[in-house]
Parts: sequence; C-alpha cells; structure tokens
Amino acid sequence: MSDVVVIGSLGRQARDPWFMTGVSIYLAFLAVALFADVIAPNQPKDILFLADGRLANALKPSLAFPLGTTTSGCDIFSQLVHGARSALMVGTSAAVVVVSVGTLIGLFAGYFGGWLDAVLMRLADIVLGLPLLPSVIVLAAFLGPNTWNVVLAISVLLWPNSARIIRAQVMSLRERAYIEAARAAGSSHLSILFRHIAPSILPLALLFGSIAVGWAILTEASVSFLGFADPDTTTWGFMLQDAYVSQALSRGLFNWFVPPGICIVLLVSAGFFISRGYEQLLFPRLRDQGRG
Amino acid sequence: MAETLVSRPAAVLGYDVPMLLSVRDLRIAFHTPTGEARAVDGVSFDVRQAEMVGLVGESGCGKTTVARALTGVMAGNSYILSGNIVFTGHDILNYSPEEQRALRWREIAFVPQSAMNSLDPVYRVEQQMREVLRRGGIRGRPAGDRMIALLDMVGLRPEVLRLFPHQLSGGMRQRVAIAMALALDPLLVVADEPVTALDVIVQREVLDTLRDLQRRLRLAVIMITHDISVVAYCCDSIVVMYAGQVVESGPSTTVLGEPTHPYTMGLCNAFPDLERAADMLVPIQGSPPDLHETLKGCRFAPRCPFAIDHCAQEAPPLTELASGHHVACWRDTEASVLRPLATKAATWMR
Amino acid sequence: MDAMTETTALVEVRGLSKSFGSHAITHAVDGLDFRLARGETVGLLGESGSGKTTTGRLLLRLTEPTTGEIRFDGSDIATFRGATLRSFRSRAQLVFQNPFDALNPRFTVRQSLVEPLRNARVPRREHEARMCQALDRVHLPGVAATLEKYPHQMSGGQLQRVVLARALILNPDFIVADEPVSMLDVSVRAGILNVLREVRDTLGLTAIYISHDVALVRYVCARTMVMYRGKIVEDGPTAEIIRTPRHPYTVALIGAVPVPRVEQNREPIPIRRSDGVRPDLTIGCRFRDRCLHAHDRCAIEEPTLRNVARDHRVACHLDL
Repeated sequence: MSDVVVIGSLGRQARDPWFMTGVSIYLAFLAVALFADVIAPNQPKDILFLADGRLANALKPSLAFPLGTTTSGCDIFSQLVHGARSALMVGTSAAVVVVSVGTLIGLFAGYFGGWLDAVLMRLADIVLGLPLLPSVIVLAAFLGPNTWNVVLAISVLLWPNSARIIRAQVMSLRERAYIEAARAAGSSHLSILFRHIAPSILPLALLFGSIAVGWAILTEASVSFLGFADPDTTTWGFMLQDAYVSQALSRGLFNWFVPPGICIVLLVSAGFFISRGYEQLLFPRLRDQGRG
Repeated sequence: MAETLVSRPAAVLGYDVPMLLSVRDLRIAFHTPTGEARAVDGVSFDVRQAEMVGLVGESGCGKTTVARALTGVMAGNSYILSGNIVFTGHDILNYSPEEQRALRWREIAFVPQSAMNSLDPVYRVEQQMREVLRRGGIRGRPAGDRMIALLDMVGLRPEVLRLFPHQLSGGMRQRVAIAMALALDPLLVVADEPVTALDVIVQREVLDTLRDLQRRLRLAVIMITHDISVVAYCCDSIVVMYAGQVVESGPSTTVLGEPTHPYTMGLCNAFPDLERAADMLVPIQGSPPDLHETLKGCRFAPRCPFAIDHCAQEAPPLTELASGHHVACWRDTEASVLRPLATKAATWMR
Repeated sequence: MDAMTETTALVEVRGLSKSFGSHAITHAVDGLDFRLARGETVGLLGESGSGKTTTGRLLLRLTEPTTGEIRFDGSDIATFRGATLRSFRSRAQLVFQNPFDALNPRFTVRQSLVEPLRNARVPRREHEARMCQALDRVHLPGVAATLEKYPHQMSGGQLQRVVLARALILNPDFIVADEPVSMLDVSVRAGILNVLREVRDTLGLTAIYISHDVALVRYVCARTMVMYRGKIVEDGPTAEIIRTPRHPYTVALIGAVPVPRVEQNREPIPIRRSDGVRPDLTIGCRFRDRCLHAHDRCAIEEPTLRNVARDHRVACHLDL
C-alpha cells in the first residue's frame, strides 16, 4: 500500500468526481434528516383530511402534498423526509459499530496472531457462513421489533468483512521495518498497535464505513419491507411495505413507492462512489496507467 | 599480482567497426501528479557492434528510461518528445507498433533489473523459454535443442528447464533471464542493473558469463548500473549520465583513468576501492535537481566544486575531445589540473 | 583462545543456533561462538543465506534462538523482562537496511525520534536537546526544519542519517547495523560511511556491521567475521583477511570484488560454480560442494574454528 500517497492525497480526493458525488449525496440526505421537522409539512403518521372533511387518501402529487398521499391518508413526502432521518441513523450507527468492532478485531487478530487470531477468525467464519437477511430477521424477531435491535442485528452480522480485510492489512504492516524499529526502540505492543498501525489502516476502515452505511440501510429496508421492523417508526422500507400491501403498483401509485426506492439506491450508491474515490488512494497505479 | 586483462579500447575497435546503435538528442518526459518531468533531456551516444557499453548514473538520472525507450517497453505515463534512435541504419522511433514488436527480442533483447520481473512464477522455465522461441518461429524439436544450448551457454544444466523460478537462486534466475534474452540471436542486449541484487561471488559469475557470451557471439551489450566497479570490470566504454543528460562518454580506460567531467571525478572518489581502502571516501554533497523544473545552465553546477559563473548561465554542449571521448563541461581543457584537486576531500566539502 | 578476557567482552555468544521450519528444517544459524569487546567495530560478512541477518536479530532479541546463549554485559538476554528489558533496549540499538521503510511514513522526524526517548522514560524537558544533538551528530543540516519533515520529503541519504540518529539518541553501548548503505545510491553511501566512521571514532560504541559488501566492511570495521551457511568460517583483523584470506570461501569472496579501475583482476575465482539447486549438507563442511580443495575429511567431519594467528581464527581442515 502506498503510504506516501496517503499523506499527501487527502486534498487530491476532493478533486475526484466520484468521491465528491458520493459525499454530496450523503450531505444532502444528512441535511434533510437534520431538518426533517422543518422540511416536512406534516407528521409522517398523521392521517390527513381535506378541507371538506374527506380522507386525503391516494391523492396525486399536488402543491399541498408534493408526492401525494398514501391509501391511509398520510403525506408521502413527509414520510420520505422522516424516513431519511431513520435511514441515516440506522445506516451510520450500524456502520460505526461494524467498523469499530471489525477494526478492533482485525487489529488484534492481525497483530498478535496465534490463538487469538485463530479464535477470532473462526468466529468470523461462522458469522460469514450465516445468510445475512434471514439471520437479521431471526435476530430482530428474537430481540423484539425495534429499530435499534435491527441495528444491533446488522452489526453482529456485518463485522467479519471489515475484520478480515483489516486483519490482512495489519499482518502485512506488522512485517514492516519501522514496526520492528519501534520494537527495538522498546515500544510496547499496544503502543505500536495504536500509534503506528491503527493510523495506517484508518483509510481502509473509513472505506468500509462508507460501504457499510449503504448495506445497513438496504438491510434495514429489507427487514422493514418484510414486516419485521418497528411499526412506530417511519422508514423507507416500511413505506415500501405499506405500498406493497396496499397494492400501490396495480393502482398505479408510482409516486408512493418509487421515491423511497430511489432514495435507497442513491444512498447505497453514494457509499460506493466514495469507495471509488478511495480506490485512487489505495491503488494509485491504476490511475497512472489509465493515461496514454 | 594476478594477470590483468585490459578491455578493448576504442582505438582497437576503431571507426571502421560499424555503428550498431546511434542515439541522438533523445528527450523523454513523464506525466506525474505534480507535473511534467523531463527524465531524459538530450541524450546522445553510440554503441558499436560487439561492444559492451556501461550506462552509469545515480537513480533518477534517466538511464532506465533510456533503456526502456530502446527496448520499447516504456512506462504508460511516459512519452518521447524528440530525438532519433538509429538501429542498424533504421530510425526505429518512427516504426509502427508492429514493426517495433518485430524488432523486440529478435534484434534488441532486454534483461530486466530483477529476473523475477521477467520470469513468470507460475510457469516452468521450459514453458517460458518455449514461448520466447515460438515468437521467433522456432518450435518443437529445434526449440528443445536450442533451449539446452542456451542454458549451456550460461552455464546451467538442462535439468533447470523443469524448475519453477522460485526453485532457483538469484544468480541462476538471472542467468536464465540472460539465456532467454539470447534466445532469438539478438544483435543488442540491454541489461538493466543485471547484477545489483546479487551477492558478490554470484555477481562475478554472471558478469563473467555475460562477457564471455558477448565475446563469443559478437553481441553488443548496454549495461545499465549505478556501480562503477561493475562497469570498470567488464565494459569497453562508458556513458555517464546525470539529471537526464550525458556528461561524459568514451572508452573505459579514458573515462575512468582520466575523468574529465567533475561528476565523473566525484563518482570515482565516492566508490570504495578495496585495494586502496585507507583512503577517505569523498561524497558528492547535495542531490540531483528536480526534473519537473526547467533547468538553466549546467545541471551539475550547484554541486560542482569547479563551477564558474558561466556554468550557471549556459549549459555546456557535449563536445568531442579526442576520438570517441565526449564531455559536457566548460572547463574540459583544464581537466588535468582539476583532476588531482578532485581527489582531495577538502575540494568537495562546503 | 583470543586476547579478550571475560570482563572486557560486552557481548558474548555461545553455541547460538536458530532453525526455521517444521519438516524442511533450515539451520539459519548453527552453533556460533564469538565475543565482542567493548568499543570494537566488527563486520559480519556473508552472502544471502549465510545467516548474518538472523544473527543480528538474535543479538537484539528481536527473535528467539533455538539453542545457545547470548550475554550482554554479563547477563543472559533471554532472562530480561520489564525493567531489565527496557534497559537493554535503550543500550542496544538497530540500524536498518532500508531507510525508506525504517521510519513510519506518517510520522515526522520529531515523532520518530521522540519514540525511543519516551520509551526510555527520558524527562520531557530533555527531549528537544537530545533530538538536536542526535541530528547534529549525523551531520544533518537545518535541524529545526528537518524535525518537522516527513520521510517522503527526504532523500535516501538523509533518511538513513535520521535512522542513525534515532539509533544513537539514547547513547547506546551497542549497535547492530544491517546493510546500512546497500539501498542507497553509491554516491550517497560515502557520506553515510563517513558518519559511521566518525561515530566509531568519537563515541567508542561497540558495533557489528552486517553486510555482503566487502568494501564497506573494510572501510568501517577493524575486525571481520565471515559467515557461510550459518557458520563462521573466518574471524580476524579486517586488513589481514582482505590481504591474505585463509578460508577458501573468503579467498573466493575477496577475489570476486570488482574495483572502480579498469586494470583489475579478472582471473576466474577459485570456487566451483553453482549450476543446480544447493544440496543439503548437514554432515561435514558446508562449503565442500563448492570448494576446490575439498578432500575426504571434509565430507565426514565439520571443521571448527581454530587460531592460525593471534587474533585470527579459521574453520577449515586444510593446512593453512
């Protein structure tokens, strides 16, 4: 891995279009999530009535209801906006846990090796063997239909990916001369781990973080869609489930299920765009060879 | 003292020996993240048939870039700005890619720096040699015979054919690389630091093999290295490069025995000589210039103890002092006076 | 045996061996015996596979021996723990081969230099002075600016000086330098070698220089030990070994070194050329497959080091 490139290139990343696109998408959704209460004209679960007292159900998009309403009379736009808040909360929390746990495990397993490595990696193997969605569902059902339980379930299942790759990177870094120099200079193992090795794998950890956000949102949406999420919260997955159950497709209510779908795709893609920006960082030679 | 064999000076080779390769005013640039770098900026030298030329200089001087231009394996982000490379009378820079590929290996072969770079670790030696021979139209039984003959030329037994590269020692791998370079009877072999990574005894064996082959097959060899001792050991003539340019070139006896450019003088003093080990080594202070910038005047001037004002203003051209001896220095006529000064440590300290 | 007494030897090695691998065992280092007197600079000369690098790492306890003992200032280094280990680590330092890799690329020079100081619990107020002194000793100009630089902003020669400064910053008694100049351009080596010579003369360090470069060893070391396939085959004053090498391997090694002059020895060196994979030689002398003088005894009995002159030992059956 080109450490030299790491030092000087953070500024260069800002010029990479993929990276900037991904970051912009995140920031846009973040803004929406933060100001959800201000942006959304109504509460997502409120059943709304028209001026003349009729239920405002299955309405087409209009000025009052920018994306129309659901068959129960809820404002789709407000639901979408609040859904962004849930999505980002779930996504970032899961990503933070996955990355922290994965990184710590990868660091210790990779650096110390031996039985610690064997135990942790066998654990990772077991978890990797489990199918993601069904396991998350089982765990969520077991723990109770709460958003945080879903986050926990996702974290428990997603950490091995980052752990393995971080471990591999740590194992190669461990052999570097400057690590041996640190040992010869009398540095303790923990000092080496956190002063020398951890900073070098931070870019990799962040890379996983950006992808993990997308995966977590997608998984959460799937879980909600299948009806295992907390019914009191508003998530895009829940919107999709609601739409499906209310036969929105056959009714032609595209304004209901297309927006949440697009939002999910955007956020997941944003994660991959950001990781494409890191590719320049991690594999600079690809960039050089691309030019004549 | 042991018998010393003197390498053939230019006078013996003479001008009636045909010029195999002529490089004239070659300029090559690189795209880098920090701008354009002129890695090679006006390099000219000749290689005669059956001559071993040493291309010497520190890392970054452009010697490897020149080698790659000759063998057609230039890096993806480099491109030729101007200049000629005339090989057996043809200007090969103007060749189409197909013509260049035909040239590669059949006329000009390459021995790269680390033989691990030229040998694929997943194939046995035999398979790799066969592939090279196939490109030259040699297949089947004749190919088999040729492989054994090639290995024999470099002093390896036929059993080596069955082995994978990782089963061979560094020296043996390098010899396989040389054998592969000779597979299609090239006229010129370009060897990039062929012995740098090898132990002393193995280095000697590989150099002796190379010299022996060169003599027997009347092969021209360009040996690229930063080690003057290697060049002194086996090269007939030397081209000294600095910061993308040639500063001195000529027969080894002249360039090493009576160095005329201050950089050459400095290099000779910076190398430990086992037979005169008590002498103090004299480093050349400073470091080479950044090739991204447009440089004015002589590029060595900032580090040169003999620099005068004119040196910083105008770059000296490569001029022919005596037959075959070229130098790029404004004070070349004063060399006999400067030379003894250059051997003193005090001259180089600042 | 040799003129050193028990009290003056800083480092004592007895029966040191290190083997790698479980089924295909490689004896990287096999039964080494030697002493390093205080203030002595010794060269450890050998080609790749001779075990010299492993020896260096064993001496600094960066790896554990399979058998044998290493004593530093009278104590067995295998027994060091906690405070004694910390003390050892501040008294014995390593200079690495690859200057581009020996420093953390994310650390400034200051951060790299402060690490050993911190580990040795040197008081904060002394840090600045010690760092400047260390950089001065290796003749790195512009100390203030250098401290804030990153490795990628410096040349190989400058980096190696920083590595040396880091090794010297705790005023160690003993340094192990593994190929300290092999990765540097030859014109840059001279500068580093001169620093090493100066350090040798002014600080009275005990040092062992591991290298395959005969010229380097000649320039810096008063005494040399030649290793071949895990064993020491010759040990004596450097000048003598180079002028009149005794062991057939040393003869070949010295003869193979090229010099930067056109007039030089081009005779074939007295060694059998390797044309196949190395045979495994566990009985008898390890050099016999390449030695031109090998006879029957060499195949049965392994030669041990014996004195051929006052400070000069050779491991060979030939009458030398």
